Amino acid sequence: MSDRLDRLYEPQWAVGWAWARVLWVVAATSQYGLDVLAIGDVWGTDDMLFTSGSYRLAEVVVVTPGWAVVWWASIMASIAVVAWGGRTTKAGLVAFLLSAGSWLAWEAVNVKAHDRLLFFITLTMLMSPIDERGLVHKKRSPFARWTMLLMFCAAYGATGFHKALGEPTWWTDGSVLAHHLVRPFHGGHAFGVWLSTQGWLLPILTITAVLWECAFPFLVWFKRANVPLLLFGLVFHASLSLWMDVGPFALVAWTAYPVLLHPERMHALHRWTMVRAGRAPRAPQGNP
Amino acid sequence: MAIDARTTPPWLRPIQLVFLGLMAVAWFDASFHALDRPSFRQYVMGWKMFTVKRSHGIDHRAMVQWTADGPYEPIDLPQYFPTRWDSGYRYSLFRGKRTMRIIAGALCHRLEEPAYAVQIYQVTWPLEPGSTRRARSRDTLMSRHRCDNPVQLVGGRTQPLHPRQGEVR
Repeated sequence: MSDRLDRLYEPQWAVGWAWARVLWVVAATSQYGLDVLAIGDVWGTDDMLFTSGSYRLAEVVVVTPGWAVVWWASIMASIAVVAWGGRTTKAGLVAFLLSAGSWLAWEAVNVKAHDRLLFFITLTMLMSPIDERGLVHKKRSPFARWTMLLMFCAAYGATGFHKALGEPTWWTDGSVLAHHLVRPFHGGHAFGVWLSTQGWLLPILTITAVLWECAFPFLVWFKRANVPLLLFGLVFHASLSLWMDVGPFALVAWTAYPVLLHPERMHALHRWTMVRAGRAPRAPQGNP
Repeated sequence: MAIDARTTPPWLRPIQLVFLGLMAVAWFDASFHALDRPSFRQYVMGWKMFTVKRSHGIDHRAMVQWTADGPYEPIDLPQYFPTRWDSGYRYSLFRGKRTMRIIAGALCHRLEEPAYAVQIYQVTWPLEPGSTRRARSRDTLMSRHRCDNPVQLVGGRTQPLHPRQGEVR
């Protein structure tokens, strides 16, 4: 039993967490950076206060425009701490969870899928070695990566299963996608509107998307399937962002990709990138 | 450079594995109850994104009556609630008449000139691939609100009236 656990817990290359930290900073900044422009309309206003379900902060907290700016600045400061890296990274992540979480809880209306995903990614980062420097030379416990994998299995798998079992047009004519592409707000982009009329292409896109989402939880754990699955994920999120307005969902999801990628592949990708950038020596021949 | 390799200490491993097991159970549970009313279990581990086919588009529009005996005139609602997320404006997310009353009261408060009353309509139309036209749209009155009527907000607070509300005839 102990031997089996030792094998299971064999340390893995940890450089993916360093990349994830950088991508997290980009995603979190893109998610909250522009909120300062909405303070007069949303967070600093006294005429539009709401509660929703367990989000009841507005009942007890009165926010003036000035305080809203301070609150927003604390979110951005927590992101800056994570951007700085090193020992204070996890303190920055906790500060982000508290400040951004209460920010959304106070608004109480608009906690979006990418908000939730970013919070779950942030929680998972707290279990990781993200606060260590020089991760390229380090191997660490696989536990945090397993947690991230499981969370993405839930996210992609659940939405894929719901589509497969609950909405037949994902399998037939693809009309479900055509209708989302012309919906107000999420849809309505010129390219999406054009795409919504391409009867031959829609089923190819919808069936491929559902197959990928449903296959993800089963295949992502295997080293050989891991890379093509994540490459497809990159294309999937990028194209969705071109056709529809889904906010920074792609940026948030991609934050986790360096961790979801098999650690050996990630380590090799990091080395390749550094060599290409001239920041690491080429490995001598015969010594990979 | 030597590789620094460390992993979870043996005493912590069973706890971590139980945690991962609970996560997996939560995910299966949320998936199993996917079609139920939204609850905490779906919040944590349930993900539905563009899952169901939508046959209708939904938006809102507003009319203002500046004086008691004047006509209702259309106004540009987003101009007064400009913040937009990918899912729409803040008011786009509401379907209930009670919350629409708050939007109506806020509209009265935010207008450049004080008004006598406002109306907010929900506009629905059948979606047609290849078009964003709102053909065959249908309006449903969500709120008709007298602007001198203060709306109760959360936490016992009262929605402010327009600073010059008293000037309305």
